[in-house]
Amino acid sequence: MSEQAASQIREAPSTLGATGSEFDVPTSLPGGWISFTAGAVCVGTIWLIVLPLIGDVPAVADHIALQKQGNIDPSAMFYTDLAIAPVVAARAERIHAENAECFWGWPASSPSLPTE
Amino acid sequence: MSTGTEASADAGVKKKGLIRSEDWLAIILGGILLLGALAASATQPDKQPEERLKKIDTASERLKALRASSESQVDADTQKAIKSGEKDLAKLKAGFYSNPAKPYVAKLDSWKANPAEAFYVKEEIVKDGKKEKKETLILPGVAGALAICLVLFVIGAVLLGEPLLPSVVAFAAMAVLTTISLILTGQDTVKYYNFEYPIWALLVGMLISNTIGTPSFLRPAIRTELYIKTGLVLLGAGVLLSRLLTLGVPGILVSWVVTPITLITTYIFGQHVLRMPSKSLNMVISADMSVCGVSAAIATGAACKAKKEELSLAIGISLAFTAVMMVVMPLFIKWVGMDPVLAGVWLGGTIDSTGAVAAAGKILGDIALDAAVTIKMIQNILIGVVSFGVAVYWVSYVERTETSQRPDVKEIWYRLPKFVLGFVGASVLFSWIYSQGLQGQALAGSVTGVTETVREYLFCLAFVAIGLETNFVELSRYLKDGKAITLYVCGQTLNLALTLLMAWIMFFHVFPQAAEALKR
Repeated sequence: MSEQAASQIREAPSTLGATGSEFDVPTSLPGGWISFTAGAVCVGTIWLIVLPLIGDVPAVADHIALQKQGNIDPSAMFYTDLAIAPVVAARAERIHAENAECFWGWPASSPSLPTE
Repeated sequence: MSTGTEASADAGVKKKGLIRSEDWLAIILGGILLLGALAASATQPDKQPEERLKKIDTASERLKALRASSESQVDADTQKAIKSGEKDLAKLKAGFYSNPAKPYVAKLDSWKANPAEAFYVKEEIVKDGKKEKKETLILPGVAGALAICLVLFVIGAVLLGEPLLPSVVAFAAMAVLTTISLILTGQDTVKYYNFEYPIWALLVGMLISNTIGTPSFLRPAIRTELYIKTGLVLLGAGVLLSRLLTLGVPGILVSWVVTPITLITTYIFGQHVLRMPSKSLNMVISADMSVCGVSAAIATGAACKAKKEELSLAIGISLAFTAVMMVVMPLFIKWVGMDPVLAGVWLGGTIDSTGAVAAAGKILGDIALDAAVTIKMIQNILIGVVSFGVAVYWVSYVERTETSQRPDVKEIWYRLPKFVLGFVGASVLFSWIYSQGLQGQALAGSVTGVTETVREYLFCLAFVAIGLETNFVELSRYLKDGKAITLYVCGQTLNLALTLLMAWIMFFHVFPQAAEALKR
């Protein structure tokens, strides 16, 4: 890489509003491959040995089993990622439709929602 | 803080013109996928809709009868039958439309000790009256989702005038890193304690960039903004405005009044008391803590042009505290013997991540689970308003202060991150489709069933890209003064107190019948 190109990369913005493909790329450290291999081995050991062992701890195993049995994905980022969301939403909408005055205080002008 | 660089970025946009701005590109790419999926679903309607409607009526009547019988006598078998009936009814309703692309897109599954299990969906089926475990290979679905991302990326590269072959090679390598990140996320202990994929994608990227350095051949595919903003346009399709009304006045007040109050108060606290060095970091932490965690952080981070390190830090703090709250809050609630509706509303309004809300609610039982998920769902819808509001506020006030110039409407329009328009537009379009009765709901669901999966891969690609651009020393610099964590803790404390107070007032004093209805 030329000195000019390297300088452009250093000066480029790194905000989420930045455009184009400019970025500030970290450069490799001395002994980079050794560090990389050590990091990869560390990740492999944690994921393949340590985490499965933690998963066997009764309290953790019970937690995982409960969530699996309820078809719940705790790592869901948004409600649309949650498999149970449509059923829960339908249930809430039905309760709302059957008891609109309980949620709005006045039955006559209660907004209607799609129901079963 | 980054005025100079942002100004040069703005100048870059001006020079490049409309189609070359990644904001417009994200709208185009997100629009292509959403409208394409919509067209594909619309061409595959149910061949016998009348028959389906009859089946829905029968299933609804059966459910009503079961619910009536459970009011007089509560027994486990009836409750099980009701739940099973509700699932069947949801499936029947969703069947008005199917998307032909659905079998070709899939998310990786969870695994315990063997990562290969991530490529198999594990289901329990009943065959001849016996429960059996069925495993289906989802490798084609994973490849299909990544292929859709590749097509979007190639269209983007062509429109941006990037050379095609290096871009495709770079994307293929990024796809491998993304798949590795998602496999790491799928490990049971990780997944079921809410450690979402952004941190593992960052880890994978940073492991490379901070050791051997980011290989130059990867550079054409390191397009964080493009992945994030396209993903956000896709996310907009899931922001269905009618959900806002699901719990009436108490739901609106808990989700849509407490949340903005917490967000604004935390931001002001960060600026004037903690004197946060970065306004955008302050805003991203305030938003992810008060709205809905990672998705809110991504949306507001893009709206206020936060630095990538700031987004990474905010997400890391949020996920760490969410994992703790998800376990500790149900224990506390059980200890004090809190009412299940109040408990659910409190969980839903305070725990950042949607998945963690459901997990914590499940620990407390079905009533709390329903209340928690419903409140969180209403709060999720706020993400559109918040990101739009933050974008307008940022270009009108924050950037104005930094440049000491008062922008006029034209300047505000010019500076506004345009992807927000795609995000809001998708939300409005799909909210309208959803409002068109059962068939509209099914049509919207069949589209988001495909686009949500693609969105997950796009966000994961974005975080791998951020990791590849992040210097660990630079990231740790943000943690040194402890202000980011202090801000989160103070904001969350306020959130916990205000939400509990509002939930108690609304569901126990103003609308007590609402709480009773939710318990039925």
